[in-house]
Amino acid sequence: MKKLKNKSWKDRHAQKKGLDKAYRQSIYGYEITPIGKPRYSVIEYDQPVKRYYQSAKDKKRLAHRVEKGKRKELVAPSNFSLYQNPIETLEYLEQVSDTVIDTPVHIRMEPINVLTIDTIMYFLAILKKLRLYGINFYCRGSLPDDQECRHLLQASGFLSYVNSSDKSADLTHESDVVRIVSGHSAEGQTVKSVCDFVISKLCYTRIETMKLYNMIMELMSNTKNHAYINQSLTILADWYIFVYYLPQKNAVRFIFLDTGAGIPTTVRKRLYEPAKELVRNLNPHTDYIKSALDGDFLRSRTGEAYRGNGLPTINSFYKEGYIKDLTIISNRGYFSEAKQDDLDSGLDGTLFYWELSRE
Amino acid sequence: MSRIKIAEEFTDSPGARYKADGGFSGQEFREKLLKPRFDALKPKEFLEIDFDGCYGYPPSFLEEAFGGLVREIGDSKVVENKLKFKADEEPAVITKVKKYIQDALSKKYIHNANS
Repeated sequence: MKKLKNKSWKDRHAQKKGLDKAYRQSIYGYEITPIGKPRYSVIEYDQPVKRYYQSAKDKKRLAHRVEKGKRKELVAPSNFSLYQNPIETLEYLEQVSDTVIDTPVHIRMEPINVLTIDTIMYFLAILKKLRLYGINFYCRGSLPDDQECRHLLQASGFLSYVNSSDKSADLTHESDVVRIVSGHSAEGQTVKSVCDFVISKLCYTRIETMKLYNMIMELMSNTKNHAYINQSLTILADWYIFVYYLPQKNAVRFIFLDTGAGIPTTVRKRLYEPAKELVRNLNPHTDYIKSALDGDFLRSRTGEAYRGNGLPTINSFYKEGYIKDLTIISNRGYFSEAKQDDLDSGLDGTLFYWELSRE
Repeated sequence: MSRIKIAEEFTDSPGARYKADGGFSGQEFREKLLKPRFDALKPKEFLEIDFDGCYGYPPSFLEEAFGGLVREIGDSKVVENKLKFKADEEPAVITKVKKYIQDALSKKYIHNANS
């Protein structure tokens, strides 16, 4: 008991001194980070309710660190959405991933007034990739001031992916949202729970969600096949899915992120003879996406002709009207009904958006 | 007649193609249930596959299970004649499966399977 008391006193004392958790652990000799695990690969999000050490003194300390160049503050764009504002958002995320490698970063989300969860999913994927590469980084952040954005961020389950002091957010149960789920294999149980969510929200029958089930499973298994090799390190691609209900439209919206190489890169790398002819004159990334949707490249990396049917299947569901508002962003390609154009900066992976509604 | 009800004997949420892709894959279904039951059939006996009760059937699952069976046996006619299908909920599944059985040994597949 005495030892425990002593330990917590040391912890508080170190906290007051402004030492971070990993440093405290290494000094006081308990819960030492295992060898091989990066000590500073930590991202923390502040509690939305102000606490005593987040007061003026804490802000002053942060300002001092920023001033001394020990920590860099990066202010997020007000429209923090890959879907609506891809160029500015991608540039910002690129800046974060470049800076965080050698400088501790504080991500200021206060100015955000438009937020979509695709950005958060992509941000989580970036951080995970840095960890996989063994890069040590330190990143802190603050929640948006805008109540709606803050609520969405909390409801998405983002805080459960980072070291957050906001424990209340972990307990938030949102009936209109299926929180961010990620993985790297095709998980039938996850898709089943998504289908159950659609059944409960849109009064679909299980039979009506069969196409949705098949579609998500194909996307997940595509991710599994998009692992890519960088020097001696094979990075397994992950998928992230976020689903939410839109009561105004009586629709369910899906966001699916595949952190693999991306459609244009995959198509270019794995071209086979017949496909080469098809793309000889196609330069923009958007054209690669369109061709992949049309099934022009029905061979995946395995070279097996019976594989790679995922995108044509999605396209057929879109054409027959089963899903609506299909948008795909992959590398620099941006494909939607309204816009089919290449972006100035690119995404590492593929983002799919679609909607399901009861007419 | 022998019978496999997938939702009861295997899972109500079938997975993708290979075991490495995740649980309840087409490969797993073929190896655990389909092939042993198929091999155990007596002459003139049929094997009925009941697709009802599941959340869906990803194309890769169906192709690997039934196309894979044809590739293992080496004769699509034998497989086609021995299997019967029941899919009252989603009859389109049967059309797909029959197509995968017929196409499993087409030229391009044999080439890729051997390479």
